[in-house]
Amino acid sequence: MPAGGVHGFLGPNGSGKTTTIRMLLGLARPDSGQAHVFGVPVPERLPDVVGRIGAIVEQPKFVPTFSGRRNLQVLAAAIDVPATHVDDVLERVGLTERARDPFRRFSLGMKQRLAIAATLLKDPDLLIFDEPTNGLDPAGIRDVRATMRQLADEGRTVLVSSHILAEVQQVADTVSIVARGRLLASGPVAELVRGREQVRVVVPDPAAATDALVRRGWGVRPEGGALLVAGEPDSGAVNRALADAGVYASEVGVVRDDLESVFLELTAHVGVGGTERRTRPTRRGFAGREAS
Amino acid sequence: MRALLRAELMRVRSRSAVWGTAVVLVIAALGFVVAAWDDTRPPSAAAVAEAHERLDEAVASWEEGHDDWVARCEEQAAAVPDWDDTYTCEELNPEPVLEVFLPYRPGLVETLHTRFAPMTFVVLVGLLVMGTVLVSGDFTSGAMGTWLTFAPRRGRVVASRLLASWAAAVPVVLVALACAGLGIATVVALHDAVGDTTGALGEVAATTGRALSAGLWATALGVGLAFGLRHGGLVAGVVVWWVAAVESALPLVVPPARGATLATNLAAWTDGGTTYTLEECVPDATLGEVCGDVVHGVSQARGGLVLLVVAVVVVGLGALSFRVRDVP
Repeated sequence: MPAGGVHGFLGPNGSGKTTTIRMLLGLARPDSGQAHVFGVPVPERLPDVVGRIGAIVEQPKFVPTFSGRRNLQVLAAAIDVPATHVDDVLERVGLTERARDPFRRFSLGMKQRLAIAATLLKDPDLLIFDEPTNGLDPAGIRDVRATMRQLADEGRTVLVSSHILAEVQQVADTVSIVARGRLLASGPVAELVRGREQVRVVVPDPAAATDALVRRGWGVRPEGGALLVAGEPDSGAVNRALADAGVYASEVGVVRDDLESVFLELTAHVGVGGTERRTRPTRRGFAGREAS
Repeated sequence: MRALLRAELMRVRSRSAVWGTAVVLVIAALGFVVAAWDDTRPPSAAAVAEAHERLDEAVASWEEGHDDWVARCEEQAAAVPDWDDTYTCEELNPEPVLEVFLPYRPGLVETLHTRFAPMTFVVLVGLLVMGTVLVSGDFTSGAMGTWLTFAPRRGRVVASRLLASWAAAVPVVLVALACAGLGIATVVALHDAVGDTTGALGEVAATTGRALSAGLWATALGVGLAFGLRHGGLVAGVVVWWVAAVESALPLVVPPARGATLATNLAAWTDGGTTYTLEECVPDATLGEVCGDVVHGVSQARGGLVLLVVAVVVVGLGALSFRVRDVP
């Protein structure tokens, strides 16, 4: 996982996202294999780096009878952070007004914000958010997304696990896709989506057009009243090929797959145990320092 | 570790389990104060009137028969060579007094013994619950997982939680005992029933020591069981099963096991030693077998050692379970 930016950790329900995160945080023990965070093996040496990691695993969980502030004060005391920092992080997540309320009376959105405040107590280099928008209303989702982006823009690394792909695509710089406990793909979002563009043409004679395009080696499939041409992202080349065959398109355009399409395609082909497919990341940061 | 302990102390100070236990123990203490008030209150006017009535009857009877009784007594004294003359015959048949016919009122020392000493059992139960809730509550709410993302060394989490629970237990016990002790002393004084105070301070000190040690032991058991079982209901189930099966039923089936029960060893520790009776039979040439009750003693040292071992084992197993199992 690259250092800096927002990294989406994607997978269908039950694919192992939360289990992976829980193993990284020492809450669950792996049967086999190794994990490293900031270059040190975890959970063996997790205490060495835990001060640099802020995490919310599944739903925010605090002592229900304590106020929001009291919960943070106790956590701050555990890591020797001055109590004044508690008010700073509460202010940052907009909970100052409700900080005296018992945690059990918080709405889900407030609980999520308190959890984010808790992660910020450590001033962490790596933030791990596990399904942070589950159960939130649209405004809450937008707030969490904005917070993640802001944290990444501050130079921190944010790992966000989710199965809501459109939401991750809006905020993530890079993603990893897992299914059935296996990594299927990993890299910048743009890299994963690139090569999955298709040219959409509307022609008066679909049969002749299909014949002409297939002869060029492109894949063609009908969709509604149009044809989708795969394998050639240049719409001009497709248009020229049709014109050479005497077929003149009334509409030509490029259709881009979104992350969801990539995800569905990758996960649809996973058998028992999964198959691995990894893009070659080119973005600066992948080849440089790594967060984990 | 110091930061973790400071955080745990801050946490237990805010936990309703601690304050709730303190309130319950104070209420229990006030119950004993009420009982002491009932024990030592002056007799009612009706009781005094009845006592006077019975006294008058007794005095009349005494006056009627006293001289004859003394004469018979002196005759016997003269006839018996080794007559015990510690008391004269007049002294052996004194005139009845009112106190004999009034309800009995214990003094301060006796009241402390009967109404203050039982606080030990109440403290034991209260702190077992408190120790359990201080740990199991975090598993139930899921806060333990969040805690471990700040304090991943689980051994230190157990140690700091145990120390903080003990730190909370001490003032809870002392406040409850102070309420009971001061309350009992106050009502006894208000009822003018203090009497001889020799040994009162010793009784208070002994009960305080017993209750504190038993309370800390129970707290450790609660913490250990909760780390191992993770749910207050499960801990309650195990405790009830233990009391029913091991403490109660087992000695009935296997009588020698009575000496190994926690109740016996706890009594030995808190009472400075205890005894239990077993029926034992020996072969007899004429009767075949002769059975009788044999008293066995359990020393305070042995009781304390057994309790210490039990606490160490329970906390150790709880900590081990906490270390190796995943935390939700």
